[in-house]
Amino acid sequence: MKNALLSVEDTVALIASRAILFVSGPERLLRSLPRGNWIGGTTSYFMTPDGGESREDRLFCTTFDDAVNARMAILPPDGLSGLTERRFAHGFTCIVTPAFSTTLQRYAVDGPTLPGLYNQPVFGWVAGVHLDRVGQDVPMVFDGATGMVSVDGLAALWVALPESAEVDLDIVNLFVPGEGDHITFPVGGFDVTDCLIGGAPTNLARYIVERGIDTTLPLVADYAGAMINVSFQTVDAENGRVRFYAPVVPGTIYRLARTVTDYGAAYAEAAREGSAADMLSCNCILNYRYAGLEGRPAGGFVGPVTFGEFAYILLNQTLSRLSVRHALAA
Amino acid sequence: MIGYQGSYGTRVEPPVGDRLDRTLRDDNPLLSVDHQLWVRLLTGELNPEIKTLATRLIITRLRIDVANNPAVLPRAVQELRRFFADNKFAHRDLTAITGF
Repeated sequence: MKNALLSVEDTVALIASRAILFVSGPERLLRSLPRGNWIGGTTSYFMTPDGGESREDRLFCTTFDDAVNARMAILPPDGLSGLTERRFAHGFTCIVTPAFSTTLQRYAVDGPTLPGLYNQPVFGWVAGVHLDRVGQDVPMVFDGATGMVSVDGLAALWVALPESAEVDLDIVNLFVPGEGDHITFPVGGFDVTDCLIGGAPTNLARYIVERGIDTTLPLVADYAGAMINVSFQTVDAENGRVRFYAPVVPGTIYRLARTVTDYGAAYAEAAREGSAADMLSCNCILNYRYAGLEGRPAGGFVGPVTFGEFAYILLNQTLSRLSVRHALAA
Repeated sequence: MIGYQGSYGTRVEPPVGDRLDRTLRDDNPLLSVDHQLWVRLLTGELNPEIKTLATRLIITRLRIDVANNPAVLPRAVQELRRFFADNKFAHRDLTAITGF
């Protein structure tokens, strides 16, 4: 696996070499690419070895040179079961879907119950746009094999690996639950009104406003040791509504996150176990903004900065990372 | 007789008729579908240290299913057991669950 922030010309040359690629970048550049073995999605932000940056003239390309086969497609919102049905016996799947799309909402809710989802890594991210053009530009995804562009589909790249290769998919989440009350939701979804806080029925939006809670910090739930965030999109106290970037799930115990004091140091600590530059990763635009990652490295992790991340399921304010390693020959 | 150490320090003996299934794809023995450890795991009574992200997510998804509707517990046990049967990469987590 190789990562590089490339010009269009260099990306075209890679595609011409029949490389298998996962590409991210501005719409105009993605539209200029020829057909080939690639999928892509829009973003204007990248994490590079030197730090986060916004570029309109570069594409972030990950080459899967370990692959022995690949196939790609854009799945419609009602065809997400194809994600697990079409994968290879040994390998992994990369996905990208547009922010604000029906497909994203459908995957966020139904994805976790796809048969066999957890049997093979599913890594990916949510396509976005430049933050200055939210509501004007439209996030989109690309299937390089057919030339298809979609504003509401899930682009999937199924990669087959040799038996000697092992894939590792994990997350780096800087947030842990704080000391506050348990928050649970009788009804799940992206939009909520009522919840139980410490067991007491409460309107979440008014609770947040009345207490001056910092909504740059997510809700965090402990998934058997994995800390899973749900980030706040809007809080409307007047109408008593909160909108999240991922659905809350009934039966799950959430807490407001504890404040992170030094994001850079936390990423460096997370990267200590291996060479982050050799992994494919994506980091959340909320971390980019709230943690001030522009111009600051994040432990060597490189990749697109995105409007959501996937490590099997939809994640918020999380770094998702994928690595491939080969067993040593006997 | 085999004993199991739960997360709360209680010792639980396997139910009569319980057994280890050694017919699956790996050398790692898999507890039979009627073993109480599955129930304790999916009801949250047992909280072993799980390392693999996939295992963490599937256990939590099934725990939520069971918490919202206890009647699905048998199906949840079958699904989790099948996950371990199919995925060798998760066997270090199986060891954490069974203790051997």
